[in-house]
Amino acid sequence: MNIWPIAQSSFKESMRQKILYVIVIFSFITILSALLYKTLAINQEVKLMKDVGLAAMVVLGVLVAIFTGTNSISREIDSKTIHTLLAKPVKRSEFVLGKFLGAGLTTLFNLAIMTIGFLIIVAIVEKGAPFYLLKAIVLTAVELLILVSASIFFSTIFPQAISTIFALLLFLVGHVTNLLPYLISKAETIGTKIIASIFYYLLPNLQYFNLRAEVVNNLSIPVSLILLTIIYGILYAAIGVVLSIFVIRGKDFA
Amino acid sequence: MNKIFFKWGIIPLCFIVLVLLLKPISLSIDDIRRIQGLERAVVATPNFGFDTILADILWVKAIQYLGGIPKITEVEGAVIYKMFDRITDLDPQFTEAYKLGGLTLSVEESEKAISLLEKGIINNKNIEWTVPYYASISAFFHLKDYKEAMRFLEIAVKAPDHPPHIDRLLATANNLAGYKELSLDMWQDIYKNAAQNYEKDLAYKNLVKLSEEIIQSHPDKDLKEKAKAMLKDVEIKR
Amino acid sequence: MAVIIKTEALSKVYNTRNKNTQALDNLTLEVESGCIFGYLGPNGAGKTTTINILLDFIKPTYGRAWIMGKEIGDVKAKEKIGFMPENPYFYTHLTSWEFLDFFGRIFHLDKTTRRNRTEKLLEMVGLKKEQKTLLKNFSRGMLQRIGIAQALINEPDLVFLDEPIASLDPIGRREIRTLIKKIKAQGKTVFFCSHILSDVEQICDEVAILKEGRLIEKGPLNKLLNVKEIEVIAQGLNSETLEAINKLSKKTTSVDGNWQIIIEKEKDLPSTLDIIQKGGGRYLSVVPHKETLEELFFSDIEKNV
Ligand SMILES: Nc1ncnc2c1ncn2[C@@H]1O[C@H](COP(=O)(O)OP(=O)(O)OP(=O)(O)O)[C@@H](O)[C@H]1O
Ligand SMILES: [Mg+2]
Repeated sequence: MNIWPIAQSSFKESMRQKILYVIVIFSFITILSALLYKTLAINQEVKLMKDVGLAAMVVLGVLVAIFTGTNSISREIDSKTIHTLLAKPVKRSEFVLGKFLGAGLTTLFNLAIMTIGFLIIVAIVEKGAPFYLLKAIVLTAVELLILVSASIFFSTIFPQAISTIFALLLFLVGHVTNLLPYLISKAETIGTKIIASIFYYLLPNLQYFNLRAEVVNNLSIPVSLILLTIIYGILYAAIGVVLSIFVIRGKDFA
Repeated sequence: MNKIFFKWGIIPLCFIVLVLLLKPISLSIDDIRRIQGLERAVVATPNFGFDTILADILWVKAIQYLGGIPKITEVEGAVIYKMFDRITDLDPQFTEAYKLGGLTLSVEESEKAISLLEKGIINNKNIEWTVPYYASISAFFHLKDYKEAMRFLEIAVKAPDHPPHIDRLLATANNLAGYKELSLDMWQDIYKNAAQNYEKDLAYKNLVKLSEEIIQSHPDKDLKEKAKAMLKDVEIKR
Repeated sequence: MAVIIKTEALSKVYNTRNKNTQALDNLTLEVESGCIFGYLGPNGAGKTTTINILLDFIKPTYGRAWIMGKEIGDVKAKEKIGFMPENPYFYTHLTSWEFLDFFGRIFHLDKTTRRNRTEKLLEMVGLKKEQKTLLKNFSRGMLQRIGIAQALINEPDLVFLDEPIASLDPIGRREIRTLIKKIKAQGKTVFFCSHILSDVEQICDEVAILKEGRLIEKGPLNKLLNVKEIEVIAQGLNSETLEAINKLSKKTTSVDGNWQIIIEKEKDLPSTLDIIQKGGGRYLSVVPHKETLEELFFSDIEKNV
């Protein structure tokens, strides 16, 4: 199997693209927010800091996921480096899997670094190890993998700029899919109804991956829920990868 | 044939299997969420997953708003209620928001205060005792609705860390609501279990007062006897 | 000798927005193993398209092809293939060492083999000193060199080189020519696309000429090139003999007391020599001059316009 060398090379590429700067920005945001909110929030500054930190991780994580996802295969195709690779005994499915793994690793690595920084800051403020926050972050990680996979899929069909827009839209719409049944029932034209229904059945419910309020407020969350949600996310990511393989297999790389 | 299937058939097959797996999983996720009370209301404010952040921003805005109004009239009351309602829609576990909203509205808009605090109780199975307690205050002192106050106080006393004065308030509420016998039992319990002397004294005074009231004017003979016996019992122990 | 590449009625039509381009038209071709096969054609003739199909980057519109007996699309055949693309765009984030090592891993070579081959290849293409330089800092010529190196990392039996020496300096060109000959000496086959005719002429055993997607000429180089003229150097010719010779020859000039006689038709040679001998002269040398590849190329292209 040639997946791993390809993944490693992609990972190395992202690292050399200095994606780590993103992490520095993140740390700034969290620390600054902690200082800022102290004056604003009447003894809620710790909650606010955690909320801001977790949300900032999502925002930056999503940006990294979409960027690396849409970049990984389109860059390979646009710069024709794919020719050199496919001339070797590399199956197209291996190529897609390697690229997904590489982009996924980049995204998760980025998230991991942010997590460490964030947990240290919270630990200092709370004077205790805030490992319970990991429950929220693990789900964010799975959500990011869905976005990586979707970005890769879009980029097998569309140019990078358009794929980026689609992936961002997926993220946004995925978080309001629970509004869709309402929209379907209220829709006036049959067209809207159909489109909303298609979206409802096709798109992942990304709100599943948002247990941040519950985690920050220290609610008990059953492990089974977290595990099922992770499986749900991995299934969606797998669907994206499978579709990407399908497209890449039928594609001409002239 | 075999080869062609392997090349082109396997991918659609994987796709179908994955899609078929999705539905039962999402249904079980929904189930667990419902059972655990983790289901969110369909929120009117679009937030794309950034619900807590939005709640925090509205919280900060609410605090600034509260700092800027001299007095709460009906208009402000409605605004404040709306603000905290939105905040807690976005972050249903934001206990401080229920508390602050409830406290702010407790005097002038007691009903709104109660409805906000009750929302907190519904959204959080193990909410801290202060939330039902605040609701009971509004009901007790401002609405003089003792039955309503009892309802909240009963929730508050279930919290293991609730302070003893809640028990006394509940006993009083029972008395005022007309549940004399229940109130008597409660005062007796409080008297027995009091940890501090002043608490014992307080309980004693209330017990004596209630017993005498029952003996003098209560129509129920059995209850009168019970009160007499209790009074005696308490006095002997002292 | 075995046939290593075989195509059958290979055709490719590119459909683009405003027109359809027939890039390959019914190409039937066989390449025997162990030779340097020069694949010639003007820009846009379909050379790169042929390679793209053979390596399964694109699907032919029609036709089939085999490499080493395996129908194209079979990944296993690629174990023994090397390829150097026309435009040397590679992973710019890797150093030349990492780049070769990466492909070594793709071929599942173990660590020591990878190190040995990487070292040897870098030496061979003259990039030893640049082994720690990122490819993004390479010049175009250097990229072509590293491109050749990566094509050889798996010690392939068949190497596709798509215009491998276009951007090299004269010394580099000679080096690579020598290198290609060396590869052939190891019993390997080289499929060499080029429009630099002098290079092809110097190293190729067989050539095929392509024009607008159609094969217009194919065969061993020395058979393809026609004898253009024959030069005879003779001595002691009297004016009578000269007159007789002039009837047959294209040109007769006196050079340092000898006569240079140029004959265009091969069949005229025996009678010319006869005349010389009968007239009491003697000939010092007979040298046939073949066409250059360039002349063949242009005459073929013109014939097909
Ligand atoms: N991706 C593509 N889409 C549309 N047409 C293409 C594409 N690639 C090549 N062509 C067309 O196919 C024909 C053959 O192109 P090809 O690249 O095979 O030529 P070539 O012989 O390699 O030329 P060169 O010597 O310039 O490299 C050209 O007319 C070209 O315009
Ligand atoms: Mg070309």
